[in-house]
Order: sequence, then structure tokens, then C-alpha cells
Amino acid sequence: MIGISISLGAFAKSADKQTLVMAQQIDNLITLDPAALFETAAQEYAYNTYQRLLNPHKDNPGQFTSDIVRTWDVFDSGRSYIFRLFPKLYFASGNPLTAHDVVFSLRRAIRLNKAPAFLLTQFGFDSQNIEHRIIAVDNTTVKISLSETVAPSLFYSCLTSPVASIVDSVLLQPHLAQDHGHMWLSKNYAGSGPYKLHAWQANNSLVLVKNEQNIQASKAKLAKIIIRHIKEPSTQHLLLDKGDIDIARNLLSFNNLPADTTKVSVLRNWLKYLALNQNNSYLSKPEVILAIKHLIDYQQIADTILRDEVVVNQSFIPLKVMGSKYNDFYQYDLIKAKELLATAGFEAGFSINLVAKNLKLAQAIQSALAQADIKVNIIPGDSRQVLAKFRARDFDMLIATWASDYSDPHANTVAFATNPDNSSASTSKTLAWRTNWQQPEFNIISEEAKKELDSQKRANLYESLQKEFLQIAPIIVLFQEVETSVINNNVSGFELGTDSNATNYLHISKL
Amino acid sequence: MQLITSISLNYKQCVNLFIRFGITSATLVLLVVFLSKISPIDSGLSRVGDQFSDISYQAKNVSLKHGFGFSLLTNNLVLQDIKLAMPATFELATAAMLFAILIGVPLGILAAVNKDKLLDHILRMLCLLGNSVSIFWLSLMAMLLFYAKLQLFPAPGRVDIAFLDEIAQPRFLLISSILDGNWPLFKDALAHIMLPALVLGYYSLANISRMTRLFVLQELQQEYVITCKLKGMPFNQILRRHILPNTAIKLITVILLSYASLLEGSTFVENIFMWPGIGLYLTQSIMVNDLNAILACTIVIALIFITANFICDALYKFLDPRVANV
Repeated sequence: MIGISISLGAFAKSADKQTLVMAQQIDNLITLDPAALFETAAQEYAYNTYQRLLNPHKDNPGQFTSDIVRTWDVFDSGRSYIFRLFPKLYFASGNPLTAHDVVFSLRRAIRLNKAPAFLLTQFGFDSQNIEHRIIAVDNTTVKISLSETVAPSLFYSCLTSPVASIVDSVLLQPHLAQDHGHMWLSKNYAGSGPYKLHAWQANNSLVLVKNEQNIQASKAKLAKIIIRHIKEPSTQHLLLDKGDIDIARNLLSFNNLPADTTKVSVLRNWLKYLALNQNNSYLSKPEVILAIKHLIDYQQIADTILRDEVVVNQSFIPLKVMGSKYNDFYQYDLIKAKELLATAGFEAGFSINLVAKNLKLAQAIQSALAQADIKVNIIPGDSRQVLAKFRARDFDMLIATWASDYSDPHANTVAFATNPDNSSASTSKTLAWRTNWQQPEFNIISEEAKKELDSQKRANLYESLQKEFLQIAPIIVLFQEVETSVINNNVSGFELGTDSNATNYLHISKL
Repeated sequence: MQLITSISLNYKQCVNLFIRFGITSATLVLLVVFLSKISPIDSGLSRVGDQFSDISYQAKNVSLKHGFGFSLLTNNLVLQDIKLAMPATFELATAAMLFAILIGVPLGILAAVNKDKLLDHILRMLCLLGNSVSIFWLSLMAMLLFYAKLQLFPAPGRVDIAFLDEIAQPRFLLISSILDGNWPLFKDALAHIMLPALVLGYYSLANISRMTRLFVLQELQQEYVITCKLKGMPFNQILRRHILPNTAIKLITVILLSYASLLEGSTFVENIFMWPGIGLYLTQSIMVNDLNAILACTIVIALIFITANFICDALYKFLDPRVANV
């Protein structure tokens, strides 16, 4: 058999300089419809195959660029926006991309109302009012009117999300009858991005090819990008070592990288935090909350057990996002922590449960708290179990990860600091709600900052909110995650984005 | 053999067999559906992200209509996914089985004939190794040695990336590529199937050769063999004309059940060699609590076993006159 295999010689590596092969976990890619997809791999797909009115600026948070919009202006105290498109834009199908397609796409996402639709509907759009709030003035001009004043950078941030991708209305027309074309677009393509869909086999592979109709694509060095679903890091390692793949996206756990490869890392807007349920009689004491904040040696954990995976960030606004400050507010201080616990009357410690998926981190927290005789019982669970307990407020302490929905401070402020209704009937079960914690003035400041038109004033509002949050909040933000890919040295120009919707394939080339 | 094949199944026995097949299958389907209905697993939660509003996602109910409903993993109809995965699994299991039979049966005969001699001991050790070592470990080692170190076989997967489009539709690659005269595809598919088939085949080979040895030894002690020997019949002839046909009946059961378990038991091999078959699909579905897919795969796998048993029964009655009228 081995003899036969040698004589076959059929397994010569077929990837040429024009073809990039990337190993990635893409099992969370379950639909290709940009108005419905919300998972990381899916957002990356949409970013590279569809175009949006705006893109986040790579280096300047709060700034935006565009491939299709010539100018964008705000009027009427942040309530009206006008976008002027370049003429002669085309979809991959050859159909022209006009203002009517933009309007069609935004209205469609709102009407379809899938998971990511809240990114648009939070501005007061609904299936009735979009008819006059999102309109095409002519073939190249789009006018959008909001129901209330909103900081333009917040609105622009949401327009950079995949949910605001522009789809080919002509191509989608025959499929609209039942479900706004969702079933069709879940497996097909109707975009204008630099790459277009060639083939997708769920749970197996995703193949993109260069879209010749896209102007930027003329700069693209690669004709084809093949993304293979390979879950096991050890398999990714082996394939990279043998040159069967060019980029391994999930190789975090390996210290010994294959020869001739390089690590590419980026901070992503994912925060790891420890939530302390305020229903618990120990954890509701302000001194205990503060003591726990001082018991954790943040830097040591980041340097040892979570090395290369995280950096210390104690603020709920991710690093490099507008208004991010006080990232290392608390330092490890055992004496102070013990004093605080003594003041609260717990010098002998107490016993408490900790729900967590990340057991490495849970054990680090367990030993940190043990220094002050707080006995932590870890209750391990997978992400579904942890999330179910969190949403049901059924925990004492809990470790989880929060991924920002978009790169504007408002996204995480709502999640961490606001809780308009603490009752079980609340429709907004934010992280603060799940922790049974309500700070009414934070709700007010958050609304104020959302509407502030002056960027500097807005940033100041978020900074002061973070400072106050850090002092009193029972949600202890610990770290910000680092995403790492390992690339073959013959590959260059691979850009990982802070959000998965900014990981760009356009500049990748292979020697 | 002429005597045996001349006896055929009568009408009543056929009906009996089919009724038993029907009742077993129906009971199985009912049991699996019942278990999945009372399971506390929340399929919806596994696919919905972390949102502030109450989870609006309704997992499409477990259903036998419309091809077992939709898969949470692929968003396709589960039946459609199974249709795509089954040819890959069948192809791998068949290749493995061919290898196991072609090598395992002669080895078993050789061991029986050389009972308690050095060759028997060596063969026993080799077979025990195949049966006692975890197939998961065996697959990993095979990949490390033959793919990573020696580079005798291609990267894991059913085909090279150049042929990815060829596996988008359910098909038996080896056969269809020959029929189409697509030789590059055939060579590629053959190169890819060899290592997983060898590993999987080695696992079954151990069982088949051990059982062959046992059956041959049993026959060797029968009086008809002694009679033949006394008549002065050469041993080769006794083996070929008497022992092997009698052993074959029992061996068919072993082979068929091994084959059925390969169709299901190749889960580990499929995972490591990234073989897009039913084992890989089932594992991935379990990871996301995809009840529709788990239910469908369980039923399909169980039906394969029942069918294999059914065929064994039928063949027994067909080939062995002693049980033909039972």
C-alpha cells in the first residue's frame, strides 16, 4: 500500500502563489446572509465579501473610511445623515450598486429582524418608519433620519457592522417572497466586496475568489482563498509544519511553533470579567468587592497562566476604543484587602461558589482569594451552562467573556454599567442586571454620552463613568483578549482586526 | 457447498424475517425519539449568542418529518447532511474492510494451521496490538509517522484542496472518478483514503483474523476432517473443500458485524483524518447539542446494525441447512 502511495505521487501540494490556504474553526458559520450572521468567522466572511457604507479606520478609533461613499455628512443635530456614493460601482453579478441597493439592504436587515438587527433598530427604526427614514434621494445619495440625536461616531460604528452590508437587490429579487431572501442568501452570495463566494460546505470549507468587479480587488495578490475548518490546534500545527496550510488561526496553546513561521497578534475587543452577584450577602458588601479587586494579581496572571492570551485591562471599554482609560486602576495589595475584609467583619473569611468555563483562570482566582481565607468552590461548566446560570442570576461569582458588538464605547457601557429595570421582567438583561446591580445615575450618564455630539466631551463622559464604575462596580473586568494567528514566513500582509469584521484579506500575498 | 446452496428460504421464513426487522426498527425509532423528547438539553441556547433580550430563538422541534428537521450545525436539512456524509463513510469502511478481509482471513488460517508455533505467537501479538490499542492513538501515530515524518501519504481530508468542489455533492469518489475517467481525482482520492483505511482496517483485521483462527481450529477437530485425513486427502484440499466453506458461514457474521461497526465506529478515525463522514458529523453535532442531527445519526447507525444482523440471519438460513427451518 505504501508502495502504491509513493507511486501515486498525487499529493503534491496544489496551493500555488495565487492561492492561500487557511485553517480556522468555522463551525460557527451557519448562514452566509450578512443580515443574519453574528458569529466571528461569519463576520470575517462578510467583511471580505460585502461592502458597507463605512469601514472602521485601522489605526484611529472613532474614525471611518469608505470604499464606496464619496462624502458623508451629518445634519439636524445628529439626526440626519447623507451619504453620497461614488458613481459606477458594481456588484460581483455585474449589476450596478446604487443608493437604492443601500436602502434596500438596510430596510431588509431591519425587516428580517435577526440577531444582529438590534445594531440598527436601537436607533428607533422599525418596519413601518423605515419607508421614510431610510430613503434614496437619487441613484447615488442615501438619506437616513434617526428618531433622536445620536453621537455620529456611534451611528457610524454600527454602519460598519456586517448587518449593514449592501446586497444586490436585483439578484435577490426572485427570492424575496417568503423570507426577504434569507434562505437563499444563507447559502448564496449577492455582494460587491473584494472577494466573492466560490463555494461553501458547512463545517468543512469556505472558498473565496477575487471579485473582478471590485475596484480594490485589482490590488489583491491572491486569486483564491481557501478556509478549511480544522478544529484541533494540533492538526493545524501539523499542517502548518508540512506546508499544507499557510495560516493557522487557532494555535494559541503551542509554545513551539513550526520552523519558518511567525506569530501575528492583535488585541481584540473581548473582555474577561468576574461578576459578583449582589444577591449574595457577602458579596454585596462594598468592602468585600473592593477587597477582591485587591486580592487579584492581574499582571502575574497575564504573565504566567494566560501568557500570550491576554493583557491586563480593568476598564469596561476595550483598549484602543474611544474613551478607554484606567486600564490598571487596581494593584495587588494583600494587606489592604485583609483590612477591608476585617472592616466588613469577615477576617475569618467565608465560603463561596464560582461558576466558570475557563478553569485556568478560575483556579487563579481561587488561590488569590484563598490568601484572605475566602474559600472558593469552582463549579465548572461549558459556555452554554455558564451563560444559562448567568442569565438566571443563579450564581455567587462567575467568570465570563464579553465581546463588544461594535467599536464604540456605548456598546460596552450599556452592557456593563446600565440596568434600567432590575426586576425579573426586564427586557434588557444586561451584565449589570444579571449581577443584580443597579446604579441609576449610570443609566442617565450613558444616555447623555450616547447623544453627545462633541467627541472630546463624549470621551470625558465615558472616562468619568469608568472611574466611578471601577470604584464601586461588582463586575471586575480583568483582562482583554489577544488573538494570535501563526503564518508561514512566505505570507505577508495578513491583517488581523480588533473586531472579526476588520480582518482583511485584501493585502495578503504569498512568495 | 453444492448441497447447502440448493436449499433456499421459503416464503413463510421470508415474511417472518421481515416482520422481525420491522418490529425491531420501529421499536428502536420510538425509543430514540422518546429519549430525545425527555432530554433536558436546550438546543436553542447552543446557537444563540449572548444577548440582553430574552432568547427568542426557537430550536426547530425534533421531528421525523422533513428529513429530521434542520441541523444547527450546517443549517441544512439533517437528511441532506447524512446523504452527503454516508458515501464518505461507506467508502472508507469498505476500503478498510477489504483490507481487513484480504489480510485478516489468510493470517487467521495461517495461525490456525501453525497453532502454538512461533508464527502463531507472532500473529497473535500483532492482532492483539490492533485490538487493544486505542484507535484514536493509533490514528494519531499513523498520521505522525506516515504523513508528518515519512510524508508517504497526503494531508488529512478526503481530497486535496484542488478537488474540494468534487465533494460538494454526495458521491462515491473512487467509483465515480473511474466511471468519469477523471484519473487525477481518482489518484488523489485513493492517496487520501489509504492511510485512514489502513488504520481502520488494522483494527478490524485483528478481530477477523482471531475469529478465523478459532473457527478453523474448531473445524480441524471435527470428525469429518479426521475422516478426510484418514482417506489420505492432501491437507490443502481438506482446507479448501471442507474447512473453509464451513468456516465461511460463521465468518460472514463476524465480517458483517465488523463492517457495520466500521460504518459507525470510524468516529475517531474520521475526526483525526478530517474525513467528512457520519462519524465526524455526529461528533460535531454532539458538541453543539444538535438534537435533530444526533437523533437522525443514532437512528441511521442503529438501522445499519439491524440491517447487518438481518442480512446475517438471512444468509445463515440460506447457507446453513441446519438452521434453515428454525
